[in-house]
This record gives sequence, structure tokens and C-alpha cells, in this order.
Amino acid sequence: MTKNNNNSMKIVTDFSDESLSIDSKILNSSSVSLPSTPNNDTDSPKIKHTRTNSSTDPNTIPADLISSFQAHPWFANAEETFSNDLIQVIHIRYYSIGDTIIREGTKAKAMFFIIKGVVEVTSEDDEIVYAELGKGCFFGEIGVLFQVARTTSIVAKTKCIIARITASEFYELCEKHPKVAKAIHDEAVDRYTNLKTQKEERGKKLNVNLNENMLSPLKSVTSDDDLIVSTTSTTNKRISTINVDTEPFNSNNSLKNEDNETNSINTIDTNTINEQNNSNDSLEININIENASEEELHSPKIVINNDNNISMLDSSVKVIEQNTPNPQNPNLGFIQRYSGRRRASVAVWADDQLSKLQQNIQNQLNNKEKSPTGLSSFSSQIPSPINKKDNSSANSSQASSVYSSLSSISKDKESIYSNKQSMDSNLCLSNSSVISESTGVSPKKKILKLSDINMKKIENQPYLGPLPIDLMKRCISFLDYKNQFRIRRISKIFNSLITNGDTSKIEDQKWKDYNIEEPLSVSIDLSTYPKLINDNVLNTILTACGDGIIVNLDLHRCWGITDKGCKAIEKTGSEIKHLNLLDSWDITDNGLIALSTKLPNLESIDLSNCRKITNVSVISLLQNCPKLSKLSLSYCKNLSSELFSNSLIWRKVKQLNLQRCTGIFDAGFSIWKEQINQEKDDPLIPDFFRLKKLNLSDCSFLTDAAINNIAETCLELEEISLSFCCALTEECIFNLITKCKELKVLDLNYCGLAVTDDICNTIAKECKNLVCLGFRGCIQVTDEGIKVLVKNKSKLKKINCSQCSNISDDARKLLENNGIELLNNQLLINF
Amino acid sequence: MVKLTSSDGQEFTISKEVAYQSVLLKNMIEDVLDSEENPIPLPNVSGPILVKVIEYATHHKDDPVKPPVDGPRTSEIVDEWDKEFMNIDQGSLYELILAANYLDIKDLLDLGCKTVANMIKGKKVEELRKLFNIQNDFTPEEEEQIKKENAWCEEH
Repeated sequence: MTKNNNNSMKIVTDFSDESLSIDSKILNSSSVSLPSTPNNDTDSPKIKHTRTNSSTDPNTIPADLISSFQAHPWFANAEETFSNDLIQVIHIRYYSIGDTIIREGTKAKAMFFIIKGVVEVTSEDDEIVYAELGKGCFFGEIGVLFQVARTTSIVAKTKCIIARITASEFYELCEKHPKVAKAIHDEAVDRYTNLKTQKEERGKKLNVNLNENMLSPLKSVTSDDDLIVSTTSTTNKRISTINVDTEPFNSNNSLKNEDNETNSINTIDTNTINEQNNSNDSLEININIENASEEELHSPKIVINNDNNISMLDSSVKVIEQNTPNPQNPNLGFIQRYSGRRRASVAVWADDQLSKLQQNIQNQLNNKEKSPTGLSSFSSQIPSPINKKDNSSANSSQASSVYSSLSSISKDKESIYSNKQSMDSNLCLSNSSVISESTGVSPKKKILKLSDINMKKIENQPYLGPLPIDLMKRCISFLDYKNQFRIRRISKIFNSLITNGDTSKIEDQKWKDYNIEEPLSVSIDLSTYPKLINDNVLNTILTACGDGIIVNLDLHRCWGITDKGCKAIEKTGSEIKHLNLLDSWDITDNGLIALSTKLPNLESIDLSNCRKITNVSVISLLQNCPKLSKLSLSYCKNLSSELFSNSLIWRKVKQLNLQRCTGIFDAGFSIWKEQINQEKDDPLIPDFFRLKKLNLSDCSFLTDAAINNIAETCLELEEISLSFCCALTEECIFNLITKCKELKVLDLNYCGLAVTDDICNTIAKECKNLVCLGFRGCIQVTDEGIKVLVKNKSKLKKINCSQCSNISDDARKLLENNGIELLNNQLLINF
Repeated sequence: MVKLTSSDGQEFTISKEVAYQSVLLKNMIEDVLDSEENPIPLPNVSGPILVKVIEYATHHKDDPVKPPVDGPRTSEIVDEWDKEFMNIDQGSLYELILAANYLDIKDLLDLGCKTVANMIKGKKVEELRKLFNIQNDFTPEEEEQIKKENAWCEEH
């Protein structure tokens, strides 16, 4: 058994309060309902025990084990009776080092709690150790909860004492203890998601279709055995990898982890969905009436795609979403959430593969002319995640997120995607804004005499508790929004200070009609506790704040938000300038189109990874929000080239992130050019785009034609990322840098064909404003290119020339000696 | 050197470098001649608190200018010295916050506010009312309603 120890890690399974502290009322609508099934407790023959002591009688379990079990922190948060109930049903097992406790691919009949010892979560072949779990952790829950075959193997790393609980007993337990059930379920979903990511980064497929099986328990609670699906036997093939010299985790790796391919959605059992439809006819009708106008807008898409199963899901999903509050089928919410596959993305192709690819693209485009759906099937042909020989170090850091909660992944994402620049400023208080400005160049206050010193306004403010109200507000502003919202219960003035700023109803004369200039809810960031946020919670919060208060609303990675949540935003959106919905992937066109009409002040929106949205959402946002100038649409794979069919609405956009929008091809950008040509004579229409910042990284299908059109239409472009657009050649880069004179940031990482010494020469001559340049992994560049850059550097401050094998260390030193910072893996463009 | 007088008449002599941590003092020193001769009166800051402020400003006088921090605001206090420095009784904490605000020392103000924020975390609403000496002015019905609405964020 060979093990890559680099990949192992220590795990702290953290059942922090956020998962356990959910009120049971909410739980009723979202927790897992588990089938109570007779499930024979027979052990898999593959499990070997050196010594087995099995019993349901708690008296035979050593007392110290019970107490150590009960002492575990998350039992402390569970219902009091839980640990007792658990002890009634557990079977204690002892394992020796190397014992396989569960084996990948086998039927899941039980879940396990580690009382003592450490186990390793490994791949079927024992080659990869995904994680280690220690005392107090549980495992085996994915198989039991979702009724799927084991997704990984578990091997005892040390001697272990493990409490085993059979599936049927576990279900009973869960029915009695919904909080625990919810916690375990949430953890299971997180683990499953992470595991899948981990596997796929290694070129493996997680051979379990969660969607399908999560539906199963709803179909029937009797024929449990039929529902257990074992999928490992045939399909465990390594996906072919194509790889030049690249790093799989180069830039925006965390999003790549989230890289759902739409095609796999097809696996949902449409019959099952239909059953659900039938039982909820009345609901469905209601929706249709309510959303009649939206349906109208939505319908063309369904027609377009009707040879594609995706659209069938799309339309079903609407029904499902309306079903979620139904306690009979609470699982359905998760179906949408995990309805897609995750796949790492492809970055660099070898030349011959490139030409094949281009051929493919051409074919696709030709098909597209015949049928508008051609594009959507294309992505399925793009092969494989990339695995690198030498990714052990990267993997070890990746592995560290395997069994930790999703939030750790999302932290990376935050740094990449979140746009916080305006968040903080609004938290500054009226007085303190002076302070924050003054750390830099302070406006000189002319003080002529010492006696003239004016007391700050704050000194005259009424005190809220021990501090003047604005200082108390400043203190509270350092709390996350959950804690802010929590303490509004202290008193009416706290409530007003935090939510709506309304003091008119306060009886206390001190506060009645006191002017709270900006309540704390001006900026709401709910992304720190995504698990707690669902449509109902969002509605409660927004209703408490009322309309006209919120300016910044950050819901990124709040997966629980659906179109119903959008309705809540509609009611309170009149002042919203910045809306972050990154990773709120259940939101559909219906929700967004309706919402777009209620956001008159919207300036920026992040819809990255909102996988369900299509062109119509984005177009209606641009049409309805006059101030909208910043859009993040990365990983919105349903967007197509037709997104730009009316290029007029795009002319106001200043920042656009299309990273990994694999449905947008050269054709989209040719529309930009064509329409500008057509309207040349109309003096009312600006004859170029205002785009300053454009991210096209990972749009690997774009060719020179697209970039040429951008170069000719976006003359004000200041920052552009084309990293991993590996098909680009020198020609378009030459065009870009000679036409776009304002370029400050140029990210050409892994554009191996495009960056040469000649290009460096042109950059040195033409890009007088360039501050930051990246061409990581472009092996054509030599020391000559570096020298010419240094010689004419003007404003150049940062270069990423890592992984350029033809650049010597001396040349790198030369750069540093000339005050140019060498970058390695930092992002050049931030959105 | 700069001379300061606290509200209770104590006189302190500090270097300009230390004094410049305070935007208020910086502006005063730059705008007023002979501040070395005439002590600057600080009627809002008591002696013991001014000692604390000077201790903080002295410790941080060589800090590089911090780049603006991206990401969500957090009450986490990273610097161990700062943590230890804020280990003071509540009365002094509030006074220190007021002094930092008055003297316009943003980092110290934020440090104080974060300390208060950390006091709030993990405390029940009733405890917070007591801590801040605040009367609950909700009617029982209102209280019930708001409790219901807050169910999602209550800590158990």
C-alpha cells in the first residue's frame, strides 16, 4: 500500500454553532427526512475486524468511552437526549492499524463515530489519502444519508475504537433529533462536494450520482434495497489528461473546483420529477399565474433548447423550488444545489490538440448556424481535467480542504472574486470617515489658537450605553452581520441602529426622532454564515430593514437562496448599488428578470457561478438598471454569444468578468464590431465601448478574431486578462497593445503561442501605461524579451514570468534590480 | 519634543514621532508654533488614559503604513501585543476609545471598538443589556415577535 503522505492532513471536524444552532422551526422545512427502513445489519464481508465487540446494550460499553463520547463538543449542542439515544443503538468496534473499515463502492449500511484513534479517508486503491479523521469525527454518512455506495474507503491509521450505527437505526435517530440530522446532513453535503472536487482534480470521477439517489428516498420508503445504487464497477475510468507545462491550480482554482458541467444534469430521473409535478399541480399553476410575464420572457429559451435535457430540468426545477417548503420532500432543495457535475477545467493544449480544438470550434459554429443549441453540447467534448506530474505540493494544500467545511474553499474565492472595495466605506461613521481619510494625506485643519480647538461633534452625542452612539455603532460594525442582527433585541434603539434607522416609534425621549444617518444595514454581508441563510431568513432580514436602506447586499455563496429570495430583495432594493450573488446558484432567470426591474440604482452585480441563468437575465439587468456598469458573470456557462446581440446596452459597461464562460465564442465579439460599423454615422451613439476592465481568462475557445474585435472596439481598456486563452497568437496581441493605449494590466499567462520576444518589444514600445504584465508559462520568451522590457520599462512595476523556461535567473535578477517586482501566482486582475 | 497636559493637570513630554500617531496632535503641532514651549491641553483625556495612549503610540510609532485591508470587517485582533494591551477594565476601555476618537488615532480606536465587539460576541441579549446598562423597552409582544424573527441567528 503506497500512500502519498503529502496529501494527508489533520482534520478538525468543526460542528460550529452555525450548523447546530438553527432553530427547529427552520429545520422543519429544510432538514432531511429520512426513510425509516428495515435494513438488515449484515456486515460487508470485505470488512475485517481483528476483534469485534458488538452490542446494543449500553451497559457493556465501557463507561469511559461513553463519557468521552458525550464530552464531544457537538453533543453538547445537540438535544440532551441525543447522546443517550445514540448510545442505545451503537455497536462498538475495535480496529487494528491498516484495517479497512469501509471500502469504496460497497453498499452503505451504517455510519460510524470515532471514539478513539485516527482513520484515513482514502481512494479505492489506497493511493490517495484525502483526509484523516480523528476522535469525535464521524464518517460513512454520505452513503447512509443519500443511499449511495461508499464514496471513499476508510482505513484505520491507528488502533481505533469506533461506534457503528446501522442505517435504519440512524434514520430513526435522525427523526428524533432533527438538529443533529441537519448538522450531519449539511456536513455530508459539504464533504461530498469537496470530495468530488478532490477526486476530479486527480482525474477521477466520483461515481455516485447524488441527485438521482437523493430523490430516491422520496419515491418510496419501503423498497430501500432497490434504491441503493452501486455505480462504481464500470465507470471508474481515468479521464484522459492533456497537459503541456501547466499548473492546474494556477489562478482561480477555487472556481474551477466549482466547475459544473451542465450535461450531467440529464441524469435526473425525469419520471420522478414528473411524479412530483403531479402531486403538486396546484402549486405549479400558481407559479405560472404569478410569473406569467416572466414565463413569457423565459419561454424562448425553452424552445431553443428543447432537444436538450437541460431544459427539461430547467422547467422542472421551477416546480421543485416551489416544493421546497413542503415537509414531505425537503430533500428537493438539495437536488438543485447539486444538480450539476463538477469538473476541473482545461487550460493549455499542445499544438496538435489545439488545431483539433479549433476544428471542433469551427464545426460547432457551423452547427450553431443550423441550430442554436449546437453550442451547449460542445462543452461535453472538451476533455478532461488536467493533472500535473508535479502537483503534489499543490494537492497537499488542496487536500487540506477535503473534509473541512466548504467555507475554507470559499475563502480563496473571496479574495479572488469578492468586491469589497465599497463595503467598508459605508461602515465608516460620519465622524470616523474623517479619521480614515486622515491616515493618508489629511486635509489640513487650520488651528490658529489652541483655545479654538473644536470639540468633535461626537462629544455632544447622546450615549448609547457606555459610549456615544456613533462609537457604539462603530464597535458593532466590527461584528459580522449575524451578530449585529442578533443584538438588535437589546432595545429599540439598538434595533433601529442596526436595521432600519427609524427612531420615530421609540418612546424614550432621548432617542425619539434621533437621526441615525446610516443604520448598519446599509451594508449587509451574509456570506459569513451561508448555511444559516435561506429564503425565509433573507426575507426576515430584509423586511426588518425595509426599503431604501440597503446599499450593499452580499449573498455570495448563500446557496440556499432561490428565486423566492429574489422576491424579498425586490421589495427592498431601491437603493441597492452592489449586489453579490456569487455562488447563489439556485437563482434562475425568473428570479433575476423580475428583480432587475426593482434595482434602479444598481451599479454592480456579481452573478459568478449562478449556473442556471441565461442571456435573458443579463440582458434584462442591463436594460432595466441604468447605472449598471460592473458585471461578473464568470462560470455562467449557459450564456452564449447572443448575449451581445444588442451591443448598445453593453456600451455603458466598464468592468466585465467573463472568466470561463464557455458558451461565449468569437461570434459574440464580432457583433460588437459589426454594430459599431453599422452605427458609425449616428452621432448619438458612442462609437466605442467604455470597457476598462475585462476578464476573459479560461475562455480557451476564443481565437484571434475575438481579441481583434475587442482591440478595435474597446479603446479605453485598462486591464485585460486573457490567461489560458491558449489559442491566441501574436497577431491579436499585437493588435491589442497597439490599439489600446490605456492598458495598465495585461495578463497573458499561459498564452504560450502569443507571447514572444517580438511581443515584448512591442509592449516596451507601445504600452507606455503598462504597470503589470503577466506571461507565466510562455516559453517562447527569452532573456532578449526581458532586456528590452527593462530598457523601456517606463511605468512597468510587476511582471509574472514564472515558468518561462527560457528566461534565465540572471534576467530575473535584472528585472528585480530595476525595481520590477516578480510575481508568481498572484491574480493580476481583481474583480 | 511635545508637551501634553491631561485633564487632571499632569504633564507629559513625548517625541514628535509619538505625537504624530494622533492626527489631532499632528495638525496642532504643524499649525501651532512653539508647541515645545506651551503644553497642549487635552481636557478630554485623563492622566491614566493618556499614559495608555502614549504607551500605544510609542509601541506602534515605527509601524509601516498599513495597506487598506480587503475583505469583510472582522473583530479579530491579530497583534498579540495589542491583545495584551487591551486587557484592561471596562471603564478604562470606554475612556480609551473616547480618547482615541478625540485624538484621532484610528488604529487605537479600531482596536478599542474591536475589543467591545468581542465582548458582545457570545453574550446573551440579557447579559448585554446588563453590560451596557440598557433598559429593554420592547413590549412583551414586540419582544416575542423579534425573538421569532431572530431565531436563525440566536446562539444556543
